[in-house]
Amino acid sequence: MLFTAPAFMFVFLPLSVIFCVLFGKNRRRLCLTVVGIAYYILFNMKSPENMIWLPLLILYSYFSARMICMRRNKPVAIILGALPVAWLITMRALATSYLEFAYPVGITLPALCAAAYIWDIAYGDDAERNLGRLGMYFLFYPIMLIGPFIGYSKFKEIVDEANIEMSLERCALGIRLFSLGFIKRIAVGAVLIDGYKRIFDYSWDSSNLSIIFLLVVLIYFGAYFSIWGYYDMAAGISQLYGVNVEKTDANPFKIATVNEYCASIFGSVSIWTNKYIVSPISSFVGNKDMWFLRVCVTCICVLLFIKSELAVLALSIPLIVFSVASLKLGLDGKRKKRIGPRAVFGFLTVMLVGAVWVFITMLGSPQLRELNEITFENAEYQTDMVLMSFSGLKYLFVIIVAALSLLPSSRAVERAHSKMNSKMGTFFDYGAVVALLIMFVFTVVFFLPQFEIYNYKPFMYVLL
Amino acid sequence: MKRKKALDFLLVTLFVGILFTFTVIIGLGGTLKEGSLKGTSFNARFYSDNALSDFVKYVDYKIFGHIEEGDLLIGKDEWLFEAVDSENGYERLRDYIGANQFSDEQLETIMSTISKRAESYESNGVRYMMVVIPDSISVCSENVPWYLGEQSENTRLSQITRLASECGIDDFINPAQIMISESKNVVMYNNTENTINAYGAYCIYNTVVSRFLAETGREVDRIYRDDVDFYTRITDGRRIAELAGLSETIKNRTVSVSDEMSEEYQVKENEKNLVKTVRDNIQQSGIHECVVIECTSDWDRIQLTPYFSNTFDTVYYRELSVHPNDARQYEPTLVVQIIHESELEMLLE
Repeated sequence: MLFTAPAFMFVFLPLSVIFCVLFGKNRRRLCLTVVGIAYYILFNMKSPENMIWLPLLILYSYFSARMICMRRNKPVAIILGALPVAWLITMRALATSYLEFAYPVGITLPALCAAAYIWDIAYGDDAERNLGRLGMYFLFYPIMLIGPFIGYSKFKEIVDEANIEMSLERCALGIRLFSLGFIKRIAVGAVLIDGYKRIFDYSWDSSNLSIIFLLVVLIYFGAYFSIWGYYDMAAGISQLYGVNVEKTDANPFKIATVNEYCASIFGSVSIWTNKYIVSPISSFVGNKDMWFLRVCVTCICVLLFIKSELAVLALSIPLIVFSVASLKLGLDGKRKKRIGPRAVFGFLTVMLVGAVWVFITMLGSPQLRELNEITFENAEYQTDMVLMSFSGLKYLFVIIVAALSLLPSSRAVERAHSKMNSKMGTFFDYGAVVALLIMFVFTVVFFLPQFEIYNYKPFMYVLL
Repeated sequence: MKRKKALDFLLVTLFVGILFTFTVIIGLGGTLKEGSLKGTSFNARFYSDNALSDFVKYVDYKIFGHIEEGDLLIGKDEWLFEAVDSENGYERLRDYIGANQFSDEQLETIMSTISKRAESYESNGVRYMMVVIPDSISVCSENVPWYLGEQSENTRLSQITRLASECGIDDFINPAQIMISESKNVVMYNNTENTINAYGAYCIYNTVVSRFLAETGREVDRIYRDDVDFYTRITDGRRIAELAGLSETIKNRTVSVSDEMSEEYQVKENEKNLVKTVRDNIQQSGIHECVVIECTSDWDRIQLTPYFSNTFDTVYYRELSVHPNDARQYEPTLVVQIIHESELEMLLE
């Protein structure tokens, strides 16, 4: 029962919000824990054996943290923190090697959070004394599926009874984020990935450059909108429960470098690797700015996050080279005003990241072994099949929806809105609400029935 | 501030209304249909909801001009074509662009098959014809999607036609050119199925009879174009539309023979693979014309029957298999084997 599942949207979410409103005054955290447990049980209904992992992780984190607090032994703390990560790697390896193995979906982030929590304790944070409160952290499902990653101390702050606010304003913000995220995830991301799959099946064995370009662009934007949509939905659901989880500031057209791509769409992994891998090594070595190590670790971890196979390590090489080049050319971060070079580099980044995605989709499939058999001759048939798939206005509509979904996070729109007079502003606001809801309904009735797979699989090609 | 509150209130109210509507329609609707609170899950109900699935297909086709199911080509004016024939796996689109050619060896085999069949009949004084009904995509080129462009000159049917002409084999008939020129007046194919209609069947009949009469110099009560009235009616979409789940959305323009056309023949035998018709007024004097028509599809037989049975004294309609049985037992004057463009591989066996 993922966020895009009808049972979640139309039954679980409204009922759980009503439950929190009715029974939650001054007991919001307890209600959220109950909702989290209910979600976790329903989420694992298909493979009940996986229900054991999260409670074990909670107990492990709790007792490890307590032990570290008592002994204050750093090497032991580091090993204890590394164990959930090692367990995660083992589970992912099993999922890749044995098809019968039912991988516990949604366990990646809790495992990383467990490690982060234990290491935070080792570096001086206080261990949580209340098992229930720690449990709530792992059971707060909106952010535990894909993120955004929030450390325990920050989480404790945002779920403080005083900070949980189930107001009309927050509810409206939650609805906006959830609807917009749902549209991005299904009406754009899922459709583009579906288009990619079709074209790949039709044309991979005998492609031409324009088909390969199309494949790269489709997978790049398909993956981006899918993950971005999920982030928005997660933030929206949190807001509906009165928890202020900020939305991710992402925009595929503002990304010019691999570093920005990783930070934008795999922010959880980037933050986690920087804080818990790069920074400790930097301080251990005594070098404050180990940018090369940061780039390497981030690229490798992002790829391993997507798919835990050794082959992805090879894919990290071009990503690292591109990251280093962008840093050397000063295209990242502060010097964002270099529009021309950034545009060129942005295009190259789309091509590179898209190509990496294409290879990721092929991992473990026979197409990868047949790579040397690809011919560039006589692609007329493949082109016709591609045009057959893309004929009509469906993809044009999806592009328009994708463009419109960027508007709420656009500063130009914000500026234009602030300059509008009162009447115009009102008209614009009401128009935006109506358009959002119409598109939400259209996505539910038209796009959602075509993607039953996302009922139980969060993403295509990504193991979470 | 007030304005923002009002806006938020409107958004929350509408959103709750939307969620509630779906919950009731999917949840309660499913329960009422099943008559019990137990049964399939909410998700299963949502994804198996027929009304929703019909809506998806309808909107996809009507608004976006797109069909999700199968490898279907959406032509102009509600024409549908299959890129790959779902019945026999024939790669129609690949052939259309000339990327599915027969090899020289295969062409030789086909020529030899036709020649052998012709020789076997003609040595006994029986005229033999092999007629290939072109696919709708080959004839109705004006309705083909824009991105396909013109049909290649190297399609399998063109290859065989060219070679037959070069080898002087006149037993092989490709009526494509005649049908293309005739189709400017009346459409010859069903727009939602790769089958000929009554007018297409007339065209095949006319081609066969013209050739037969020209070669033999015999006289029969031939049916001329002016003798037949055709009328068009709109019916539910046929096979390809059904495959797309759009048989009610994409209608078929069905061309039939008018009821005014008299049936001057009797069906004497009607078995699974054999239908025999005999004309009512067989002339006692003169030559008794017996014709054997062998078709691969029942639909073709039904369409061709009014013409051939009203023309020839006795007509046997048989199912054409890969290795057809000898038809000389019926003492025919003409044997016509009719296959489709998508079935040319039959001649390789």
